[in-house]
Amino acid sequence: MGDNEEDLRQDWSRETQKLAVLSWISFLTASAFTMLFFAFIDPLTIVDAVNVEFIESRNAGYAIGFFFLWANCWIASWLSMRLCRRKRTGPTSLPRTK
Amino acid sequence: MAQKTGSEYEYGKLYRSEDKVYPREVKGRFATLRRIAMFVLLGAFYVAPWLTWDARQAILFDLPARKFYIFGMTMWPQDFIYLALLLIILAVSLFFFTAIAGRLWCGFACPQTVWTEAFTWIELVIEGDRSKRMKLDKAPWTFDKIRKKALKQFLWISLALYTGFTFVGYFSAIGPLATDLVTLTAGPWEWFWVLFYGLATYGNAGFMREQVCKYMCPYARFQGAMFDRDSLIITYDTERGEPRGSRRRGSDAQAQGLGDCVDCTMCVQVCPTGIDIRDGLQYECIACAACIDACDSIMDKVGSPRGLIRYSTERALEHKKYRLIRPRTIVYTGILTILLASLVTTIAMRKPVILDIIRDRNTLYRDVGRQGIENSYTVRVINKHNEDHDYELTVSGIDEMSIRTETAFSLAGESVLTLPVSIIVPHEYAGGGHVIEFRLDSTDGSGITVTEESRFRGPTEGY
Repeated sequence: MGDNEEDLRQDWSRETQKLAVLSWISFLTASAFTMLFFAFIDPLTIVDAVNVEFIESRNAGYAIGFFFLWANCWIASWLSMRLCRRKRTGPTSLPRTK
Repeated sequence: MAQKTGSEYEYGKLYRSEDKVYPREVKGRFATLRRIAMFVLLGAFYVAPWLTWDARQAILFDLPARKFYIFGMTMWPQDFIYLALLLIILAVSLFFFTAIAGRLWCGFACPQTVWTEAFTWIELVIEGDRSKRMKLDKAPWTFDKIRKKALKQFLWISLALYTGFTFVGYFSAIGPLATDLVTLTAGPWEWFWVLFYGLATYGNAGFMREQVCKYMCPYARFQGAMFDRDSLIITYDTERGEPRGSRRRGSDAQAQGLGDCVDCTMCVQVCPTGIDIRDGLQYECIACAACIDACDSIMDKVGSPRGLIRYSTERALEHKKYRLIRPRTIVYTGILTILLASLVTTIAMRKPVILDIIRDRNTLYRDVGRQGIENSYTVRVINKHNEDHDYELTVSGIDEMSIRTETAFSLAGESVLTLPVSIIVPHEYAGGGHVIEFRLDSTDGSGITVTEESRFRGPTEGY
């Protein structure tokens, strides 16, 4: 990276920034919905339904629920981000004048 | 990699720890305030789970048992409405305070700011000030550098892990948790969450810092919608400062056509997000007021009055009158008052017992011969009180109806009783559907009464 001011100002690359926003916003959303969900549903119900030996406590249920929601939010946000992408505008994409 | 040019400020990719912003530390009124806020808030966070109330942890969100203990009050999942109300109140308060005082939250109270402050403070103590840190980072790996870096990382990781432990301590009794962690007998999920939150703390406060505010925080992006022209913001007095420029000590700035800004760029150097406040209000500004302290110290040195950069409002800068009472603040105050009042009244009117009636879904009714028609219910009684109580269950709504099962029982504090109940109604009164009312009275003089409606079904006409 060059040492002129403009270059130095780019502290996070566009990709890193996207990744960070994606993960953080889906984390916050998942936290809120985990709270809402488990306020009404006892995680033991889920643990019983999954029926795997090593996850048998409520704590396991909470964790599974949270990470499930986080993954869901993440995927949904990622897809939205991809699909909302617009065509690059620049000299090469200018409409032909002829 | 960004080169360390020794220029006014340095940036680099933040996922390389040595390329961080090197904010110059600053002394002054607001820096002191910020430090006080840090000690008070972090202190409260670390101390609160150790407080006890009625021989139990005062604040414990006991997730494994699905009960919240808050200063002697026990909240059940059925009380989720209070938590929801509380969160809504907090959100509206954030709007309210933003409208009035700008991003006070960001600068002084946000966990992100507070932990970053703590982490940078450790860095300052171990590695020295900005120039020393930059020199140290450039220097070859000598023993002294290794010692300093290792010590800093050790302190950072310890603080992060302790934070993770404290955080989990709000959800799982902190005393036993400490013992379990030390003796390595804690459950896998406790370990997982301690490490997870420890890592999050380290990442957010040691590693990403203000990048979180700049790129990841939704609140920062919404500030434009929450602000108005009377919100308190940190701002540079363009009228007074411009045209900026350096000047010789003792020279007459006015004669040279210069404003008060000596263009020392101190305000930029101290900024943790690396913006130039002189360009006006920017969403990156977390209102930490470091630039105010920096500018004030320079103004003192050059003999100009303080406040070239200060807390002000857009209207005040235009020499208009500041309005505290305005539609926005009135609406927010109104909403907040209503929400707070409803929270307080609903908590005050909270019933210590919950009565749940579930009708047997498999059979509508059963003909039990001469006795009449029988309906079956599952009655669930939740005693949210900490004390034991004796209860009596009665039912009303149809003539000569009676409960055939046990109706008097005793229920221990904080426990749930599931009771099969069958109700018999003589044939002549049982036909069709009826609304009935279950009623639970305490018989030990504590005066608890709850009622719950349900339905009784009998055969329809002509069966």
